[in-house]
Amino acid sequence: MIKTTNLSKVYRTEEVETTALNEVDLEIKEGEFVSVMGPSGCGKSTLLNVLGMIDSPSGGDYHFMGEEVGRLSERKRSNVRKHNLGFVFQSFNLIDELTVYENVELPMLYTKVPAAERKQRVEELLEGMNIMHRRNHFPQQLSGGQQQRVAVARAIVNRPKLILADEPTGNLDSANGDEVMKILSQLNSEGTTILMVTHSQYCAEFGNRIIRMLDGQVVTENLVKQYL
Amino acid sequence: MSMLRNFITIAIRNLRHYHSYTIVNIAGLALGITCGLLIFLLIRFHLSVDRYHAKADRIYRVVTDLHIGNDNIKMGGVPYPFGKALRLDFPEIQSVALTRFESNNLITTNPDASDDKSRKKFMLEREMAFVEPEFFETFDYSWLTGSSAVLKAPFQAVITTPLAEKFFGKNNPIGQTIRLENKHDFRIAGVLAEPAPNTDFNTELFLSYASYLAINKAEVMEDWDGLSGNHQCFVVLPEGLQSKQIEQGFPAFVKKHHEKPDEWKYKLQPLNDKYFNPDYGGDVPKTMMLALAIVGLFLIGTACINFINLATAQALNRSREVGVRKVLGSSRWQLFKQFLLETGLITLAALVLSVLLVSRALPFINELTHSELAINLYSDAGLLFFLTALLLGVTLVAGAYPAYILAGFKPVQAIKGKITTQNLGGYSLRRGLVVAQFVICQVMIIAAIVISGQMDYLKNASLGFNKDAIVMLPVPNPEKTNMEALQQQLRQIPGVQQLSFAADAPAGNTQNFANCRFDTRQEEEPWYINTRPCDEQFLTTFGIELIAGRNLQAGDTIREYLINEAAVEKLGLKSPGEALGKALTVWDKEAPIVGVIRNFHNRSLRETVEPAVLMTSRERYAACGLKIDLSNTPHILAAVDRVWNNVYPDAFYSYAFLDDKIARFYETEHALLSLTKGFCAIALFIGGLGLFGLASFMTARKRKEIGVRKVLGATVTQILQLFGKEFFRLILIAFVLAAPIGWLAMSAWLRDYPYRIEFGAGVFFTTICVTCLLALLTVGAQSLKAARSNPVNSLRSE
Repeated sequence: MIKTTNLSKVYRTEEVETTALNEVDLEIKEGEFVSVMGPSGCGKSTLLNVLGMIDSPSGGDYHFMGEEVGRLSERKRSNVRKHNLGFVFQSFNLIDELTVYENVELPMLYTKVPAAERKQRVEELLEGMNIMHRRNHFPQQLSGGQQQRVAVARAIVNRPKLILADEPTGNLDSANGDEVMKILSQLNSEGTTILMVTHSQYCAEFGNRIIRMLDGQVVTENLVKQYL
Repeated sequence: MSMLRNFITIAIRNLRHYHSYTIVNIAGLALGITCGLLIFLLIRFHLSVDRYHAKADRIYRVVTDLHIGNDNIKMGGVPYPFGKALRLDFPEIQSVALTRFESNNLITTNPDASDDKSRKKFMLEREMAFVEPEFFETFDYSWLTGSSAVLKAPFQAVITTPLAEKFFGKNNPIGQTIRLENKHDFRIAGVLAEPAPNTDFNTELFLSYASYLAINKAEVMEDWDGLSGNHQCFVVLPEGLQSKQIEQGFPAFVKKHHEKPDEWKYKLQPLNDKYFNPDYGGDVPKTMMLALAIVGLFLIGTACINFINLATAQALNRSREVGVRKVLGSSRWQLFKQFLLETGLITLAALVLSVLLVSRALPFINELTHSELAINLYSDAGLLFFLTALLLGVTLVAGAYPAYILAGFKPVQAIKGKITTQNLGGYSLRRGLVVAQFVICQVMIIAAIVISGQMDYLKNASLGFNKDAIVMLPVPNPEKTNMEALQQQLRQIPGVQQLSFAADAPAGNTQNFANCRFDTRQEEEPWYINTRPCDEQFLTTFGIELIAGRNLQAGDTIREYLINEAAVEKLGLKSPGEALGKALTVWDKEAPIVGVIRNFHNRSLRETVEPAVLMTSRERYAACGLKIDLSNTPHILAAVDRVWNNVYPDAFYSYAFLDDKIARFYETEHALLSLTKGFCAIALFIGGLGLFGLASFMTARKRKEIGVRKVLGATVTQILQLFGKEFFRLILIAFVLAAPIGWLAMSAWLRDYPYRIEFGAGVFFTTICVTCLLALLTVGAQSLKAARSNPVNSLRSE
């Protein structure tokens, strides 16, 4: 599904040049659940952003589902993104001015899903996530766990092929964190590919492969124990 | 549709959430739009004046340019025999309508009734006109009864509905008799609907022109040298005939009819120029329309600038949403549309508020500007078009830049809340906009100060005579017995200190000019002299200074003359004394000059002092000036009323204080001053909002810097200086631009006044002080808040 060759990302200001990704070669197959670990500033989030097409690479190739997407225009990247990718963030990133229902519905507005189908899908997901009773609440009226469940629902409502999760449990207590990880595992078991950045070894082991990064490079790739 | 609903939902929720931002934005835009809308209505009203006549494009008024010596006099009228000759000499003209306008006329209804209750006296508030039937073929009036044919016969009248109701209540006006000036009876033969408000013709009573011919002596009506601005001639040209084609024939026409053809020139003035051209008595110069339009654009522009500043400062609050939307697949264009839509909603709210404000302000504006503006959203397509254009225009101008900035946020930065004020781009653009705003404000402050200074000057400057505590009464007829009785009885009223009969007060609206011949000179002087018939009490009553010779002696006819300094100068004499004892001929009457008086103003201070001559001539007296003791005014006025009505039982009593009459000379300036003050206050208010916006932007931008400086030991005062320097620099830059613009504009405006104030450093000093004060008020509080904030918070949040 994903194949990068010498993928680089360099941030330049007038005087300083920072290499966030340094010639990363990476392959993720469909159906995998890959966890990315590493110390702060090692380039994990940058890798996620570039692979999620919300940031463009400075060099190298990036093939997504067989198509070179690294050099696409913003409009085309946005098109690929909305049909194929779902995002889950550490800080949830729900829109404060939209209700739970409207937040989950939002991605389908961009993919022009008909109204009736939107309603059906949102309700199914909210039922599944056990937050249907909160459908008309605003994000700030929910607990952190509930907000992240809404965020996950929003990430999967367009039935993406790949979910990119950036420390999805970082702002949650262990019970809520566990719940989110179970949902992600469940989605993975149903066929969704997941790429997750995390600091937590415990969470990383929900995946089937762990990539460790340092200074913008992939230093090791290991299968998680049960897959050995 | 769903997306649109989503945009609207989030827009409304955001506007509610950041309600203070919303209120400030809507208020700023609403004020700007209100001014723009008012100015639009005002300009449209004035531009529409008399455009509704079906033949408006083919109607012309014949105007006269008189070149006598060095004088060039422009008049909207023509000599009395002009119309008849024009018909004969220019048969190609479709129609010619001679019209004689009159004002301040006394009308008596039921004149022959024996009892006072049924016989009523009215002083016409508007104009009256003697018209030929062709007048109604030229201009569109709606006839309720009768037709223009009724005006063929003499002593026939046509009345407008409001006047008919005033005269006769609910009774049928047709067939009723009215008496003009207690002399001539007219039969009402037609009724017109109330004329449209957007007309320059202020006429409520039309009398047949044939009666004018019957009332006046035949020799007057045949005199080609007599010219009055009130005797006007309107023509309709047939389609396809150009005014120039007719005008080409005028030189030959002048040669044929005038003894001194070099002095006379006729022109065809298009109807739409009549209202605007001040040379021929037009009320509203087009330059004023242009100035108003510029002010309107400035005020809307300044409101847009405000919006841009506030919206970009506010953009940080929306960065996360932009990031999320982009991640979820929104294109930059979709975001641009979304934020533009939000601006559209704010503009719409401001527009609705403006329409409400305008409808509340209209009565006041109508009174101030003598207009009849109206706002009717249901039937006024032009207004709806303007409002729609305003909605789209303001949305685009105010919303495009903030929308562009917001839509351009990088999703990675936006989603992590890492958008800083640095990303909001164009800081210098925003500073430039604030400077532009302050240029506008400061120019308007300069204008307001100068206009107000000039107004004070006009009101208070010496006119060369005493205008205080003087009551002017009408003298309906110059019968000696009446005047003597009036004088005798008025003098007996305690508190009446002085009394004088004259044609008019020293300064008034009516001016009479005549040719004059001096001493033994063979030719008449190549200029006109302003004639001021008055009795021997005139100088003492009005406090006019005699500088050489003696005062006039009492008399009923012209026996001697007094002239003013301007006349001495025009006569080319070296000193006032030189004029004394010399003969002067005015109205063919030769008499000696017995004295020279100090110049006094015959009109407003807009005009220079003209050469004037004073002479006793009872038959020309039409006014009586009383100098009274102001401590007992009500009693004196009541006694004067009784005396006057006793002497003139058939006339209409009215009195006016001379200083009030003079204040009315400056109604235009007064209206202009009120408008300028209002617009200036609004510009300052909007400018204040703009500064507030920039200050919020700066406090956000400098949060971290302030924190670091405070940790390093900066005091609150030192932090405040950070802001102070920035804002005062902007104000100074604006001032450097505004001062010359204001100086040039106001010098040009003052140039029209021969007597004017000098404006110097004081005006500019006040301007900069007012703007600095405004800055202090708007920026001060926010800066202080930022300077006193706990540095730990700002550093942690970064």
